Amino acid sequence: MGYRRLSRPHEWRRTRRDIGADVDEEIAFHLEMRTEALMAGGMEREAAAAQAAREFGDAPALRRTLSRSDARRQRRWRGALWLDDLRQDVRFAVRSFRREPGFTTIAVATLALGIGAAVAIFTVVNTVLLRPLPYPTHERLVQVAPSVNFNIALSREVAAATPSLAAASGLSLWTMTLTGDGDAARLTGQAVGSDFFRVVGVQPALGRPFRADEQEPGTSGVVILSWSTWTTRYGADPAVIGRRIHVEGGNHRDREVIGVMPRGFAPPLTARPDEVAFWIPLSLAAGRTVATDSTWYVNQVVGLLAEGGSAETATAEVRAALAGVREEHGALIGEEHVRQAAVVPLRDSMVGDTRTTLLMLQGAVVLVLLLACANLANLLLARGDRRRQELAARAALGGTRARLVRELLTEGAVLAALGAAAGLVLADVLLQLLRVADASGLPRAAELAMDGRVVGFAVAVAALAVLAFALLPALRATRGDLRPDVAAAGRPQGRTRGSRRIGAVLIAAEVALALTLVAGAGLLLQSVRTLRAVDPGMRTEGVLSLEVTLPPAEYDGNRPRAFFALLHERLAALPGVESVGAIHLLPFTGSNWGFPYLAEGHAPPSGAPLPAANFRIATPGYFETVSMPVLAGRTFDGTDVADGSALVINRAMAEQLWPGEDAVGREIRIFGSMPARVVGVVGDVHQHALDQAPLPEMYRPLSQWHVTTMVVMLRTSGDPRRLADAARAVVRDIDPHVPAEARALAEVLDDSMTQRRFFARTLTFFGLLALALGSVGVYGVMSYATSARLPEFGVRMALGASERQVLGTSLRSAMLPVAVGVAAGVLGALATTRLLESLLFGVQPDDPRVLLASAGVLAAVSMLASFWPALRATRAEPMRILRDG
Amino acid sequence: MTDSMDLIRGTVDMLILRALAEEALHGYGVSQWIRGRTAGTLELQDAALYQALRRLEERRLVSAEWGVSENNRRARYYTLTRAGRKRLASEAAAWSRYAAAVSQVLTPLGQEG
Repeated sequence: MGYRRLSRPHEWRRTRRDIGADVDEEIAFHLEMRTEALMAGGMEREAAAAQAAREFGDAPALRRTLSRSDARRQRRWRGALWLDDLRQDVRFAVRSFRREPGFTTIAVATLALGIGAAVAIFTVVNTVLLRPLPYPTHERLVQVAPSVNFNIALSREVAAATPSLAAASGLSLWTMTLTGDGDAARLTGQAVGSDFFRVVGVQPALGRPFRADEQEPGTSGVVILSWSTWTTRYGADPAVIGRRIHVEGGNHRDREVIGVMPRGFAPPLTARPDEVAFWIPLSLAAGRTVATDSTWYVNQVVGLLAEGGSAETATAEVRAALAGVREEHGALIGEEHVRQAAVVPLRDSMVGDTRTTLLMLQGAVVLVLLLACANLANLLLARGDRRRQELAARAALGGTRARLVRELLTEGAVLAALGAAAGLVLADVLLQLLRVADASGLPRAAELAMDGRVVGFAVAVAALAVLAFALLPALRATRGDLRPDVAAAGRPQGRTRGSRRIGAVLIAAEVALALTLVAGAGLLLQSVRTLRAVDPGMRTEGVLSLEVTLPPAEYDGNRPRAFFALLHERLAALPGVESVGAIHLLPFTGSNWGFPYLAEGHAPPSGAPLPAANFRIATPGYFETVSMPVLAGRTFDGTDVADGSALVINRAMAEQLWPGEDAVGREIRIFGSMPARVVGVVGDVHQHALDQAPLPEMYRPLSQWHVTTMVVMLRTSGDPRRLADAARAVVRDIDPHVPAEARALAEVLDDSMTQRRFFARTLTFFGLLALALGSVGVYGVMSYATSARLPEFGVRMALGASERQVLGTSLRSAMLPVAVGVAAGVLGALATTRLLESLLFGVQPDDPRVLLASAGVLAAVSMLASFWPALRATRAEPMRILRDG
Repeated sequence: MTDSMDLIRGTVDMLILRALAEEALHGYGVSQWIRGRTAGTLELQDAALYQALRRLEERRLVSAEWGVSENNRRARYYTLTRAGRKRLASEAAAWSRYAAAVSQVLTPLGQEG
């Protein structure tokens, strides 16, 4: 060979400096040899060296080039080595898991639960809080807030006066009747300004958007269909464009279809976007001004920020515009409306108040994940103890500790990867189980989907989880003397003091985590129950609501009154109906009419608008049907003829206007000009939210006010839903073109609490999951610890300790960590309830019942776990225990 | 011109492979071998030689490891790999054909001269 090989271990570990040194050495060797050769030929050393250097060429340049290429090669080699190692580790891990299917199943299942829960909630957080709105213009979409009703003229004027908004559109939700091409149906449509499509950046898939000149009654008889309406009702026939269809409402009986929106388009600011069936233009007669426009149903105004425009500049402009209107038209706009008006990003205004609760939910779910990791850490700790011999063998074959730890971490990573995959599937199931998409009341819930970011989150969580649950066990399993003879003692050596301390810490941690979660869930549940128990002001059990919409064009003048009078008669005659009455707006839905008024004995406020109260139209029998108490005077009856001026007010209004006095007989001028006399006072109804004080309300009888929609209430003794078909049939009998929608009133009330109920049931689910995980974990740690102490118990008993003493020792050693855990858990629970205070209603945050119950469960579990094996031990012979270990 | 550079590089590589065909050598040894065999006609700049050695290493035609020379100095020794041996054989054959062809073209001149 000509040379002796030099062994250089850790070739792959050379640093840049090492590489440079090697190259130097190689070059130096060459130069030295050439110098010596020249010297052998008679040259002086210096001259020889110089000659050698000249012959060599540019040594420094060569050094640089060679260093670079060597470093590059080293990097590639290292990478390949590392990849090889990884592949080997993974194969090893998979093999060892296949040998222990029980352990693997439990481990993966635990991880899947933890990761799945975290991913499920993150999907919701992602959809509602993180993902941009599904419109091309989402970055510049804003809303004029707060959402107070404008009229069309005002919304247009505000839009025109804000150059920071490139386009703006009012929005209003309408229910209109569609006939022809199928059953008569009441569908929800959205009335929008002509700029709406520009604001959202979406054009109709077929046909065209509204034109600027289609905003007056003469020209606004057009309609754009939603994709699903077009496919289900019109068979996706493109020839529907240009047809006139019968859709009653908004001053038109039929309209021309001019377009179809793209599939999946979900309009903003609607609770159920997939239920919006069509769009019509907001239509105002020419010449109407803000003062003469009575179309106060524009619920929201959305806009598109112009290039260079910002929410701040737009806000200033809107305030200026509103202030200007106030100056010109006085009492139409309140001063606080001007002050509070603002332009906010649309997503913020849609999502706003759910942010805190969603983040809290995410935090809760992370706790569940930590519990799962704690369980897994315990499993791996025990497994590490079992594998001491195997690890010793590997160490003897040349594995360094770092290498072994890396192998064990790789095993953890394989478990985490399996857990993450299963967790993603589980998350999907969880989301359906919790009914997020359809029954959570969350904004944007319809958009729920697992996208790339969710998968990325799952991967990240799995990676962090590996560190959480695998690192400590890996370090512990490879610690100390791994020599085969030492490890072959077989007995779980792991019960050193340090090991016992880890077990205790794990127990305390699991107990604390589980308690915190369970406490939060319990309190939230309790608050929902309490909220439900609040008296809404009327009895909803046994009441069916029937929403009847008369086509306004046909029912003018007295005809609505006649219709509803007949309807009352016929409905009252149905078997099982105890009472009938009607009101023109369904309670608990947020639908509201608010009118200003002037009250007797009260001077009109100077420089401020008139006070306003909720306004309702009711028929005789309404208050009795929904069991609203009559506190003074009477309710409506046959004496309220058409030219009368009867008024019923609620207690809040009576107390506010004439505290301590009799309100009956007093006069109130609606709008400041229309006189009415109070004939009775009824109880309050929590119209908007059960945990807010009721607002002043006034009622006028249908006989003295013209409306074409009424919600008829029927009271029955059994399930009100059984009456639905019969009631609808009665309406059809009187007029087959009139649609009627029936709902149990109790359901309507429940719906108003949907979001709160969603949070309660979700947190409950996770609380129970935490309790289960915590119990399993605590049981596992405890029984393992106790089993490991059996030799000690055997010795004690051999030395004369009684069974009771041994059991006592065992139990006592269990109680300390549990006690610590309970203490920490209580602190955690207290902290959580502070957070929950915004959601809690009627529940004192320091309510101890739920906490005590959960602590009891966990303590019981851990006592059982430390009792049972100890009991078995005391029954067996001490010598056998010592022998068998 | 690129062609001639490649040609030159190819030739250098072939010489190095040939040098290593009999025994493993360090860089200086290769340089000596080439000088010796060509009786000084072909002198390779040593810097270029080392670059060529690295190139061949990268293409796995030679492998290198550190060793101790006869005079007890540390040196990096280069060995021909099996792939290198095969390449040498095919390059040598190609070169012979090429040289023969050029000879064919040029020889009439010489003979006449």
